[in-house]
Amino acid sequence: MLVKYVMSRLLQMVLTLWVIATVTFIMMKAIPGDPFSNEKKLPEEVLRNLYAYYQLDDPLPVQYVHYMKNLVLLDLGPSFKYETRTINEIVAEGFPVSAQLGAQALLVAVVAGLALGVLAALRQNRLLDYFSMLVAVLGISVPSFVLAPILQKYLGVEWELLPVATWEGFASTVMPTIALAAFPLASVTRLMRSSMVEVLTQDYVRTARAKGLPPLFVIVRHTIRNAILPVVTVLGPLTVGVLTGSFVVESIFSIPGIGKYFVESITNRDYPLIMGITLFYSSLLIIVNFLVDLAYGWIDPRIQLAKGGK
Amino acid sequence: MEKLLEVNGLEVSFQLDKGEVQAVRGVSFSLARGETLAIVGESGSGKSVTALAVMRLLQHPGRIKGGEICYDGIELTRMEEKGMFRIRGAEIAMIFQDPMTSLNPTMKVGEQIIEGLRWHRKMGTAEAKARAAEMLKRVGIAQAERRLEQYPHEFSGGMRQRVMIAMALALNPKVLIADEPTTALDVTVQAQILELMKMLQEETGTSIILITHDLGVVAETADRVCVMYGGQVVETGTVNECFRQARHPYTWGLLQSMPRLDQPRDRELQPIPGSPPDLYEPPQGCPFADRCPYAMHVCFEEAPPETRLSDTHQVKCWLEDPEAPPVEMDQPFAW
Repeated sequence: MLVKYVMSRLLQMVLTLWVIATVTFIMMKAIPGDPFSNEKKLPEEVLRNLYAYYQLDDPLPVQYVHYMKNLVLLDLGPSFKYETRTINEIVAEGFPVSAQLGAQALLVAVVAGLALGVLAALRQNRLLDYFSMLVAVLGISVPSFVLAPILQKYLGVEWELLPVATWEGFASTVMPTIALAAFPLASVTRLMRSSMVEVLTQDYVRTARAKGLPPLFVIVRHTIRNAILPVVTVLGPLTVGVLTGSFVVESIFSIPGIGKYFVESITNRDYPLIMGITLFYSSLLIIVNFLVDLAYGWIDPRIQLAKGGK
Repeated sequence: MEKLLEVNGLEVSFQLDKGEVQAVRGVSFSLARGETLAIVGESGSGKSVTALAVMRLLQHPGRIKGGEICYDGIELTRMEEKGMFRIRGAEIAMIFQDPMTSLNPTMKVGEQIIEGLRWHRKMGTAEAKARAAEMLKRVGIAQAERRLEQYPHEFSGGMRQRVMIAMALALNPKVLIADEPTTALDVTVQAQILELMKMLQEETGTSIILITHDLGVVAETADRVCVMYGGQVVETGTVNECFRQARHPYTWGLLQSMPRLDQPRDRELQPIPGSPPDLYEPPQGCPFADRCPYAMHVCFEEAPPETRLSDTHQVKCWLEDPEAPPVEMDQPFAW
């Protein structure tokens, strides 16, 4: 049953990617201008040769079919801007950096968020609760492009604790990680707190206490696991947030990740790069969401994936 | 009979923003070894709170304000929380009203039985598993080994209550507190569960405190009865005494509001008019005075003293006063 479910999900994933690719292709072509219109006026002849070389003079449907063919072969094509490099190379080079930053931020957000949420729920309406709610409100309302320069000014420039904007060694990753983790951390904290507060009043928690189990035991075995489900639910969207957030954070800290290329690719109308990064991130998100769905079934046995549940 | 559990003048209150709710006001009762004591009363009479207080499971803002709970010579009200970990589950176990919500939905049933055994008895996994399977068999669950690996949602309501009972009795507790164990179940399943509890009690000699509002359940299973009203015990006695020679008008009311087979079919049930007292400001007199058809002036002024009718039968009612007019229940319970 599970194999069948996984197969049908994989098929859905391919379909989703195809739709994304098509829509992105159409929107991208709808933007006025082309990769070579920004540069200083090129002679007609040269332009025509460039168009021919990159097959931009073909009718759109032909271009579309051509692109899709290459896509199936996992060839994302050459970059128009970085002429010596293919999209595959750019992604392969930038992704490890982005992945490290994103993974660090998610890890911090989930671990610290869960811990703060649990502690807040256990100390309801007391100092620790108010503190974590303050963190949550700040994290949600202060955008990363405000938080990042503040961190740079104090931690980097004034107190000289951390490097301001490089990507060398662990110390340089601390500030970008904080800036990127703030929002998801806040969301996880809030969600975990309310979920824990609800679970703590459940009958089965009373049953566990009535068994004579010590409090830590009851909390770890009977509440956290049950309370964590809503948090797992938002892990998908949170990953999206971290990804899109990384575009901004990577620019602010001049980190050589994919985010930087993505922003540039749009202003440059670097068609293959736009397509490539969009599809790369889309696949990543689709996979994350799929993993989250699988995790549900593992955490809550009442959710049966194979029997049509989603 | 030897007293196993003695509760004396227990007072429990909940400190809320609006004021203090005095949920239990001076409740006393005792429980002998191997005995079944039923605590009956309507919702809000303080029965469940009393039970939770005995387990020391009251949640903030509830707290024990006064009185004593003496279990096997140990005073529980002043015991440290750490000490309670050895008492709860191992000495005094509890099962709850709603078996649908009382089991952890994300944990295998076996796990939930085993964790208590491991914690209290320091059993290894294999030994605890064997004991859990044995308990499931004893509560009448077939294919016990397979069932241990299942989750609560794979069990019906009655089966879940059986699991709860197996879980509670796995550690051979001396006292089992059953808080409305059959209320959430079908009538046919109710009878099975009561039968099971009776059978297991005979096998193990466990004392049971049965909390219920169902007099049918009481008649079937209990040795003695405590009738609670407005946070107090208004009448206590053997089942016989409370059903046939009841002296408190509230007990009469309870008996008359119950359908009976020996009455003409067109006879209407008589509900008790009015509603229970507000426990924010409990009445200074008898809590039932407001709803009592026989209430006298004194009933509103002063709390009635306890009258001993026999060694086992006590009642708190001014009608027992020598100066009160003689009153009897309209239709004595022919049982």
